[in-house]
Amino acid sequence: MINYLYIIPEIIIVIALCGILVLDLFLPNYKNKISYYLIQLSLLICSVYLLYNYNHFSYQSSNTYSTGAFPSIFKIFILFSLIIIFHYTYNFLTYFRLYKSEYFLISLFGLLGMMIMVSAEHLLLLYLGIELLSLSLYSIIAFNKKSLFSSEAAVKYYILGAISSGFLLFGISLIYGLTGSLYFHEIHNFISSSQIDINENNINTIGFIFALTFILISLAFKFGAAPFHMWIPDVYHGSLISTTLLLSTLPKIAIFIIILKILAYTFVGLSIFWSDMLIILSVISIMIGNIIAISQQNIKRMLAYSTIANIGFILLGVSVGLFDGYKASMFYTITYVITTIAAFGLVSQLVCKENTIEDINELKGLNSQDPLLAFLLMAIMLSYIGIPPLLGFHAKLFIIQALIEANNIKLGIFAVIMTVIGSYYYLRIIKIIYFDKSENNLKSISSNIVTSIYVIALIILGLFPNILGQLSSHTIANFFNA
Amino acid sequence: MSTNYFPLLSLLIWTPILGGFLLLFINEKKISLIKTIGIIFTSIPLLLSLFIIYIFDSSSYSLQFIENRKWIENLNINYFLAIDGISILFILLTTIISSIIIFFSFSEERSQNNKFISLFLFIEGLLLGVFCALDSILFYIFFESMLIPLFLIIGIWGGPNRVYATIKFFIYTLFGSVLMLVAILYLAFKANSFLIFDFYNLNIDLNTQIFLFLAFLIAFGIKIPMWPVHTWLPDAHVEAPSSGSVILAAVLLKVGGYAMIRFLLPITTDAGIYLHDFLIPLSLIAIIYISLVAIAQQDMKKLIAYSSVAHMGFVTLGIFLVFNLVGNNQFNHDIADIGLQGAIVQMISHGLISAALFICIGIIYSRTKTRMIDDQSGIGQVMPVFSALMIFFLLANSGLPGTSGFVGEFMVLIASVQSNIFYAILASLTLVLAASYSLWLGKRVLFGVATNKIVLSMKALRNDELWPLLTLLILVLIIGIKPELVLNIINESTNHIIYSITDKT
Repeated sequence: MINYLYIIPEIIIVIALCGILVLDLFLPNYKNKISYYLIQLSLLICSVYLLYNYNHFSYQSSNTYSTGAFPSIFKIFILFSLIIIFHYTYNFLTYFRLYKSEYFLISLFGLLGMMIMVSAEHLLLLYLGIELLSLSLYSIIAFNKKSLFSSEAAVKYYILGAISSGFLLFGISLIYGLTGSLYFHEIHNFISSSQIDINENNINTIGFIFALTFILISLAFKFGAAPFHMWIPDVYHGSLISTTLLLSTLPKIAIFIIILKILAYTFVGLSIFWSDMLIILSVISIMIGNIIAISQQNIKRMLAYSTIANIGFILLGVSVGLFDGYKASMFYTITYVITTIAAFGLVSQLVCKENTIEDINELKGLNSQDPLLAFLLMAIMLSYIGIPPLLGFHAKLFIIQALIEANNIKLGIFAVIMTVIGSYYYLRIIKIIYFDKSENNLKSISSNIVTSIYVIALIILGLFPNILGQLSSHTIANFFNA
Repeated sequence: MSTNYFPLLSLLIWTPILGGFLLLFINEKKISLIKTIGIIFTSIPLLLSLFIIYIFDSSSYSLQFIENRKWIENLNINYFLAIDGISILFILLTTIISSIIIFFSFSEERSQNNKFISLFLFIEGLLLGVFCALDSILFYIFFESMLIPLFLIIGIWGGPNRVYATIKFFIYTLFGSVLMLVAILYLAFKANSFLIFDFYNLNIDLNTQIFLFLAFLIAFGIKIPMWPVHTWLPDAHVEAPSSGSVILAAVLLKVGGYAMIRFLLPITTDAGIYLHDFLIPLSLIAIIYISLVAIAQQDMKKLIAYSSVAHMGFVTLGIFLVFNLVGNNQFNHDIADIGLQGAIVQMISHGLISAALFICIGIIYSRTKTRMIDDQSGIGQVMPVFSALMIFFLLANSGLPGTSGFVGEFMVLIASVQSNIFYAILASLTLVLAASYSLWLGKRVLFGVATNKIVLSMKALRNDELWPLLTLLILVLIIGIKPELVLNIINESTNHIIYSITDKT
């Protein structure tokens, strides 16, 4: 029996999507902004509904589609973030006369995909969620028809994304052949009951490792972990900055949850295998991200490499494989998303000589033009480095603490030294906005209120890390008690 | 433990930070308003710290004015503030120097005065936090967030090569402190608590201790700074504005020494005893080699910066001698105590003297716009009062008996005589070397005949330049003539540290 109460948030989004899609056809051009406000309204309704009902159902991983605190908290976070992202996107697109309601509607399809990914407890459903997300991302990357880079980025992402989906499907089919099921909980039970022996070369063990590797490669690709990161700088660079804002934040949360469900639950019996794979992925990501970012001149490319490094940190936490590690990773993911929305959001609202900011040197003189924005950007960069008392510090603290509790001190030292190396390119931005003098005529295309409130929230969350810390432990505890 | 319900220490820490935020919203053109706010928000902590030292019970080593609240419950990290005899001195040093800086800094012309003063208020609050925090993560947070204001002060208001200097400063100190973070997390994992005093009771094997020791040594050695990781300091000093140099030399460097006493001595005692043959030569190199480097400097600020490194060599020598003495067969408790107390007195005294010297150089620079020694001569003819004061501080810098500079060095030398006569002979070379660079600087800058037109047209000392120097002069003399005033406050606490070390070995 289907209980429709489980999927009310998704139903709200689908109704809004279809309704606004049709409505938009009948709106005259000068009134098409109405669609934007309706979309924001529906997101708000959906998140308020979830906020009041997130604990209504208990989380059960034996369903095909789960609800309860664990998925709902992430959905609320995704929805609220999307509202802020849409706010920046709307200002950006209107200023450059690129506004089309389709941009937001396609993003809503992506949102639907993410919500399915968050709730999926079945490999096929998971695949559908990933594809829905990816397809809408391909189209919004290509949104800027006139730009050659934009089309190149979209085609590149499309081809590589198709290959990685192929990997995922291949892994799923192997799993189905081995266990005869696609439900996470049944695979979990199968693996934990079959007593897999590492030293024994039986066909089951090899098959599982094979399948796991394929699925992990695909997820690492979607996540953007090195060495499957090649698409990130080009795609970030090629797309509009508002698209980059969406691309670099929300999908990462959805993928993080998938990784959590697949590794920490479904394949938890194989943790000896995947924790080493994750360590390799994260070490390479942190190194490549932090070192290559130093030489970047384009702010989008620089932040792309910074994303890769941050993904490395998230995977480092997951690789610990304990409650503390997952908690730290969740804290880090949320911190990363909040910080990145602030960074890209702020930069997307700046224009230099009637153009978006591309080269980081165009930020010169921000302090003299707009001291408030300069201060906010500095706070964001310091949070990225991990300077206390900002939020980024606590995120790194939790990850390193989890590593040390797992007696993995060498990785902890590696992580902190890489943080020092990475601090250089973030400091360079502070240097450009504060220490360099310039006549650049920078201006902000929207009021600074949203950014200010947002960054002040970031600082307050940093001073009282208990808020996010308790949220993460509560959520992860809910995930494991299922 | 005495518990005090009024959060005096929180008030002390957060008042200047609040003032700093307030100043950010004030128009940079309203200089007198900025000055008033700056002075109010530094004098409140000054008065509070005087009040604290008045009711402080120096006859006990136990922690006083304790505040303990839960902060990050996931990891069991607390907001734990308390002070003992050692921290109270540094708190007083911080509040005095900060008030002097705010008073003095308006004598220089600059843009964005409101931000400048607010950054100094932030630094003051964070420094007070470092000296009060006894939870290791809270300590780390104050320790590290201090980087930001100084990074901006040097970067925005510094000299021509400021970007290089400030990024070097930032990355050097960040590198040191992240290693400390790993060490703290390891200790907290073993002790199952983040309180520094819970680390003291841990039994750690020697190999692990050596790693922990090195992690802490790199962090604090960069901060204090020790040879060979001192190179960021001369660069930062030369590029920093005068007020920035003052706070850097007078208080920020002391954080390293203070942290060594808090972390290195009691936690990694065995490693220290094991490594002392390697550590003491490092301090001696700092004392002798860096003094020689100071003699060769052409830039007044660089000269004083190198002299700071040499004086900090005395501090580390005093601290490391404790390891040497404790590891010795004929262990004498009092001698180790003298060495440690000497290190602390040396830090306080150097804080006062270097602050005064950097203010003096700032005064010269604001008139001649050059810091090169060769460009000035005969300032004594045009500014007699100023020259008398500067010569006094130069003499104090070289350790003249009767000034505070003498007390600390003398105590450390007593301790080194007891541990190894060669150390004492080498360390006492500093008396000659410090006198040569200090007095030679005085001779070239202050004495002689004023031929330079710029020097001849120098204006006499203004009030806002005179008062800071006079205050410092009085403090230097008081500590020099009556060191018991300081020693009585720290006596119980240092005694307790030495006892707890000897109990462990």
